[in-house]
Amino acid sequence: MSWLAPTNSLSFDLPASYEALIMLEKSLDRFMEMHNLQKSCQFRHDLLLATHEICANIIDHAYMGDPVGRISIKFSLYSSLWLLQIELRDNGRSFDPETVQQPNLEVPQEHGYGLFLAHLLVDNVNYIHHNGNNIWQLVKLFGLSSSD
Amino acid sequence: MIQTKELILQIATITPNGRIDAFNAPELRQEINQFMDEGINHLVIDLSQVTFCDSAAMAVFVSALKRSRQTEGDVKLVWPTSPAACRIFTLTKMDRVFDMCDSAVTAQANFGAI
Repeated sequence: MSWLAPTNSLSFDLPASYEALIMLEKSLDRFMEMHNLQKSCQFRHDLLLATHEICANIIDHAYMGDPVGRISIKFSLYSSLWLLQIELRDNGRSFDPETVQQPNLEVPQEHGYGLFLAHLLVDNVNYIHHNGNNIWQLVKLFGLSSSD
Repeated sequence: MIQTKELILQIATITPNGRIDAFNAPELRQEINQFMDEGINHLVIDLSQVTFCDSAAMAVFVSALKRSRQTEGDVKLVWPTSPAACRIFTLTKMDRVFDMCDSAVTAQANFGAI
């Protein structure tokens, strides 16, 4: 949606560390409060968990645990489209979505659920690699969503 | 993640509080492993006070389950009170893998005689 200006947006960046991810929750809550997005607990939780999982993947795989990395985060509200988009950018290792295997839900495993969960929790997950940056876009519709 | 622990009749019950995520999941894993290293392989992880779980938390639960079952033990989970926090268990179908209970008392009782 780069061709359409968001109604409102909030940009910030975090160190690529698990400890810093708590700021996601506080920042999302603040953004939703600022724009009177009184969405359900499930809407908020789903968006937060999806974003958290992608950030965890960025920390583990893009930066391979290097705490020097940073994650740029942008919340964008598109009121006319009834959606909220979260964009995550890093300049770590690139990623090939084609190589990711769906977890086998019949056999419990310890890893590999992050991206799977993100796809289920939000309405669209998009990834591109551009100019040395990995860019994730998570889109969640509100108003029409069953989790709303 | 503040948590309480108790050991009654060879069943360990761990009650974490708040978030369990990639940041503090290792701490929970360590607590669980401590019990298992001492030969306790029947565990209840009471998630009723947990408000947020991510896939790193799930990894700890699965790891504990696998280890406990190697010695004919088991790990039972108590559902989070928050419906939103329950989502990860249903989406990953972990609610079919674990004995998910409504309370710690029920989970402990489900072990039967040990």
